[in-house]
Amino acid sequence: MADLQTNGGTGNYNFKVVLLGEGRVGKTSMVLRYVEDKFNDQHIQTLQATFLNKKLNIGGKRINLAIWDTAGQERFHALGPIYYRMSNGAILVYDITDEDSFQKVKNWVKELKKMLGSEICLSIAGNKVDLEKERNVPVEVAEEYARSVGAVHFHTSAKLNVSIEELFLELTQRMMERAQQLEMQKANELTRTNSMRRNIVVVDEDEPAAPTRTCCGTT
Amino acid sequence: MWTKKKPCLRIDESYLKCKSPGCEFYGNEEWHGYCSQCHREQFQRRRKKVGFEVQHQEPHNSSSATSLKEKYVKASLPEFSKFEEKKRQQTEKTKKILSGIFRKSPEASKEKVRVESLLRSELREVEAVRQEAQDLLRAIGPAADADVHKCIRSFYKKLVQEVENPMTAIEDLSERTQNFYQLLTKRFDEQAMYAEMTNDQKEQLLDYTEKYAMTYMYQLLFCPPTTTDEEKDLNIQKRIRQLNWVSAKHMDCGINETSTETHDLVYSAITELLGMDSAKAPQDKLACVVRCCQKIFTLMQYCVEGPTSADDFLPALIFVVLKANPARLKSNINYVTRFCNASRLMSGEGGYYFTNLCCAVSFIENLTAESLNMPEDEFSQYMEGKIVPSNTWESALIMCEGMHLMNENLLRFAELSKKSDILGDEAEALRDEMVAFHDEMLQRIDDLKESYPLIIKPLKEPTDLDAEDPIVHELPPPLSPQVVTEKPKVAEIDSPESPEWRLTPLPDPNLTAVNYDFDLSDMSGGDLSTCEDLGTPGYQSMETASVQSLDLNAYHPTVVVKPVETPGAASLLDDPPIQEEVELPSPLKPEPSTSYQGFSSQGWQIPSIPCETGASRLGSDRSPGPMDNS
Repeated sequence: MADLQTNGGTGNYNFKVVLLGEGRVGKTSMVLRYVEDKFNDQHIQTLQATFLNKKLNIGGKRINLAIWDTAGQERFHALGPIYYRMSNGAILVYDITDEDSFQKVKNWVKELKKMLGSEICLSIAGNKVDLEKERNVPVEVAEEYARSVGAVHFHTSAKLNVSIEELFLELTQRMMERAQQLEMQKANELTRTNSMRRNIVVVDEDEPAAPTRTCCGTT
Repeated sequence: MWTKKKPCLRIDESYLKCKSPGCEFYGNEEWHGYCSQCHREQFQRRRKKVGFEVQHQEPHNSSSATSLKEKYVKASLPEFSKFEEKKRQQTEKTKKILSGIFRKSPEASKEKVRVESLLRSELREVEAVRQEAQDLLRAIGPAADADVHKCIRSFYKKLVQEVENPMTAIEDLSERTQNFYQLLTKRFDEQAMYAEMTNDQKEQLLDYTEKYAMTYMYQLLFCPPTTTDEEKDLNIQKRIRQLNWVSAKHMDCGINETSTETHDLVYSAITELLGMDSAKAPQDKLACVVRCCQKIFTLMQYCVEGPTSADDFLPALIFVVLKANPARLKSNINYVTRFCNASRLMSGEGGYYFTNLCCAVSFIENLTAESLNMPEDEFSQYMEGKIVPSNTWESALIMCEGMHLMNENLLRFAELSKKSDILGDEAEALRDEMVAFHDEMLQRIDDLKESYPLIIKPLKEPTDLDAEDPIVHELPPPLSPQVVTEKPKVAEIDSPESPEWRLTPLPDPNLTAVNYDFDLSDMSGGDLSTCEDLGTPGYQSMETASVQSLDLNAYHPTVVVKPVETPGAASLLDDPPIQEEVELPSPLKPEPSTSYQGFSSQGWQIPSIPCETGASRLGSDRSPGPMDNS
């Protein structure tokens, strides 16, 4: 019975993974390659690739990855927090031929760190390595940066199916470790879910005004 | 937490800040414009001043004392402390002034009535929810069923209690609800009575409890007066109205505003989104959002090549929200966020779409010129309504409508002109045909005229049938009937002479007439004169009739039989006169025929005797008189 619990102590894990990155860097292609193993296929023309589930089995534990695609356009940048609230992992995608997209990744990371601290597991993917010739983001720079923020860097290609599987697998393993750590810390399941829920309530832009809380508490 | 500080709707901005100078916090109407800290300070100060009096007053609740107190309070204290005093004293006057805020006194019962009436208003729907889940409840067994409802009842009792207390922030209610969901999930896993349930059933049961409880308390929990939800609703509505000029092009979402299919899909998505307000349970509201988003995905298939990514989806959703301008959008979003089973529904697909909806709303709230990629001045001009873009959704609709009409008309015209062309051609062909036909006919008539020249013959006179005609002579038959007419006379004359014939023919002339009379009378129910004459009942006449008819029958077979042997007899009427000689022996022949008893024994025997005796017998037995007369 216990393994049926959604946030279960011993069995299932439900992880939410957000895909962040500028528009047209290949977020959608990556997730479709991973979940459907298809790239620019006729059959995926009609698919929606914004929300996908992937079931995994690692070390006898069943894991459900809910992969959330996000809108990467600059003007939706401010909406990021609404998306990655409550998420366990984030994959930051940039296009190796596009220096700008790498700068965006840096912004995302900064924000994620600010909002979620170290609760979230980060992976950075330099996508489109099939276009190695046109590379604009030096490998060393990218890897160095990833190391500095505690993220794992991958060189991927959704087109050639390079490192996609590894990227997700590695991230999942890290998320599992993190979850197990959390379980150790918080034996009480309820407090955990409550804290998770708290996060989602923030539709109100006034919410971050932290000092107000002291005010309320007095009555 | 935050909302707690500004719980009243429709209050001026200036009221929001704490009244005490220099305080940065927001004030609260309940504390007469002070923030909770200042309010408390004021309260403590006040209390020190009038403390003993208040304590004295408290247990008595005497109205005269209260009014005294009040006067004193009014005179010496700012509004706020007066309010505080009243609250503690709980006098009637206080209750009147602050009704709806403090409910511990008799006032509470009134409030309870209000709450209960609110709850009751949902009872029917709650019943419907329960009816829907009938199968599930039956499947889990009565024990689990009862337990679930017990849980729900205790939960909403607790919650209603909290709702009645105005100090309870909506967040606390939400917290409690979420705890309830958690506890229930745990209970399903741990309690023995739920052990036999499948996981599916557990999920369904969780859904059911959520739906049941939330539908029941919808009026209390949706957009409660202690929050600013309503205000926010109005703000976002106004904002969206201001943004009505935003087109799909501004959103860069690839929706082709002029195509019919996309129109229909956009409309159906809008309809789904609007349906969210009418759903009661949070999960139903969530389902509306999911359906809306699915419609948008279908829409995106028309507009964007390749699989739909969030890059395309979010702008489309924003566009739909802008065009839908759903009622009480914020209230609905807050309600779902607060009371949806967060750990389950929010993590799935529904959660994703809901998050996107939140994103869309947030985007709309914070929409700037930059986010639409347009110059600041142009944006502000749009917002102030100074310029109206040519391609807003509405005008696009109108244009589109016009274009549709034009296209349709053009098509119709093309079709019509094609048809008229065909018609013209056909008419031409028909005319040619007619001319040809006419010529041909004329030609033929001429030909005929030539080949059969008109010869006027003398008029034919109608032939006089009686007149002597040369042609008639050629035909032999007309001659014979003339001869036949003569022959019967001969036969009649002959027949009496022959002894054989005498037996039958003699009675015949008399009887035949009688016979027919009898027959008719019998048929008509015996009311004819003959019957009356006889004075016999129908029964008797029947007998006689049968006898007579037998007689007749007997007579005829003999006639028929005779001709077989001697054709002359059969051809009494028709035979030519040449057979006259042959006729003569025919009466003789019946002798052998009578001896040949096979056919005519009865015929001969019965008729011959009854014919005479029968008639006389009838007459003698029943009514001899009439018979004699006949």
